[in-house]
Amino acid sequence: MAKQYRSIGEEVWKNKVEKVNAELFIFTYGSLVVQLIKDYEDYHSVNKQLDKLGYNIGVRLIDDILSRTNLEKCKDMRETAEVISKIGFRMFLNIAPSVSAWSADSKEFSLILDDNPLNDFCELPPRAVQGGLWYSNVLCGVVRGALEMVGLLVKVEFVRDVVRGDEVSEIRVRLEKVLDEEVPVGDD
Amino acid sequence: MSADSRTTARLMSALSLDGGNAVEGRQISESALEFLLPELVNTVISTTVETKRIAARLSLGLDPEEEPQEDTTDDSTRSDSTTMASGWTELPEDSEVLEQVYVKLETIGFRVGRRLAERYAPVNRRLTDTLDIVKFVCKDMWMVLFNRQVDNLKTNHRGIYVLQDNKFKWFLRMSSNHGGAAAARRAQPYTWLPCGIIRGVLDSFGVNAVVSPETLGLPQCTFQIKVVSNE
Amino acid sequence: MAIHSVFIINKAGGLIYNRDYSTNIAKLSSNEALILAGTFHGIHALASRISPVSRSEGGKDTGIQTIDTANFRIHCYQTATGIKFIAVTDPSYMQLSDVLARMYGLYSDYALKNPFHNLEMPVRSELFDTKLQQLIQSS
Repeated sequence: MAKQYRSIGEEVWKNKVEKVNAELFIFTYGSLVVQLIKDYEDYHSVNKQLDKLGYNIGVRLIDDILSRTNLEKCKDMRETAEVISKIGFRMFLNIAPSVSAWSADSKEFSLILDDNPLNDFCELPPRAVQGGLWYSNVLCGVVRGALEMVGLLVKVEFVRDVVRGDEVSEIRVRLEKVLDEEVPVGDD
Repeated sequence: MSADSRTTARLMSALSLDGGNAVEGRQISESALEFLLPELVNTVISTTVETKRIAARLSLGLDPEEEPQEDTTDDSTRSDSTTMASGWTELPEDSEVLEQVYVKLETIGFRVGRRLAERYAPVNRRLTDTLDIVKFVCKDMWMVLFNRQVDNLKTNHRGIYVLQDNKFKWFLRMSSNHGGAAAARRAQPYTWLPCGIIRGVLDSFGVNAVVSPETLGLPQCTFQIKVVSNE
Repeated sequence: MAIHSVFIINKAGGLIYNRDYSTNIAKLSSNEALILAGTFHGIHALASRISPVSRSEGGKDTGIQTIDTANFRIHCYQTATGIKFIAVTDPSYMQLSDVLARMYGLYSDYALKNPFHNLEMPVRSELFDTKLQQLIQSS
């Protein structure tokens, strides 16, 4: 299963994606974070803004993934997790976080980011670490927004990040609710 | 990449010992940037409007949190996703807020320009002549930013340079049925970021300048650089 | 030309795009087009409800894919995000899913990535109009 998604992800990255130098993206994101810190002077508000920004990206980006891959609907969260990692992350950031630490009910898992481009060049001041900044929090919002559009309501949050001095960078994803699709919508 | 080599890479970039374009850059999808930019602009607009609202309430001695807040993203179990649909954020009418949006976007760009210049400054020659520095922006920097060079560079040889890009990349996806002038107005914030980038690059080479954009019709865009004398 | 018209319906059943590409098809008023979109959306949902194989049992797209009449055929492609791409063609057109999938690609490139476009709202973009027209003409 994982293998199949890996090859789809690689095929999309190779043939269906315009590639650009990552630095403009990385510096622009970093500069925005700096601006938000200046505006809010409160790291939790910054986390929230980054998550919201990511969400707004995610609700659009999902169609970009689907229109380029012709994927079948995922059967369960284990499949969904593989698609997020091997196709979603691969297609945009050319990385494929490993999926691990499944909960017993198979509703919760971790994405381990060994190589997060946003972290390139990033050194957080101790103040930001103490203040609770999750520098790449945009990624949580993107995953949440994208999954919501296919009917999966999830909670997504960073639990560890190397730029905060942790061993690894880890995003925790938990399925909260599956929206029933195909319910006839009432008249407007 | 091991933690060690990562740290080293970071240190080298911080000290810019790695000689800019000698390093083979990481690649990502162009779409990542295409999705980030509009939300970056929207975020700057909405946070500026929000900050102003809070300040206004505080100055009246009111509790800023009392008023109905805009949607927060806390409640992730909410099902009516349409209320949070992403989309175009109208430019604020309030000229003071608009000015702040401009300043923020330009500043974000300025920092980007400084860092890009640091990475891509030529290693084998020193740029001192202003025209050479502007040419560096038109060719090398434009390639890094937009994967093309500017179409035309004009100068009056008295400190004014006009860069013309006939297919400005950040405009290429922009389209509406609202007609040229309205579209150009709506596209304005997307030029403030590159204005800042250009100013940042120039600043890295010791050139103090004011950069202003002009759009006659999408996707064409010009940037006017006006060098401010240091003496 | 064998593709007469195109409809795009958002996940709530609202019509967000509608163009005619031939004069052979009777012109619908905008109100009629809205009703058609809403009605199709409703029966599509009902169809997947009465499907003997549900999605969770491995059923693929369980909604309506084509509607046949003596003189034309309606093709529908629904994305996993709930957007419907619909085309009205000559009855001779058996298969249109490739073209509809390419429309989805255009939608994602020229509507979703257009900073002026609001999600779930009508697509108003000359660029999208042009690209779609090119696709229709080459199909």
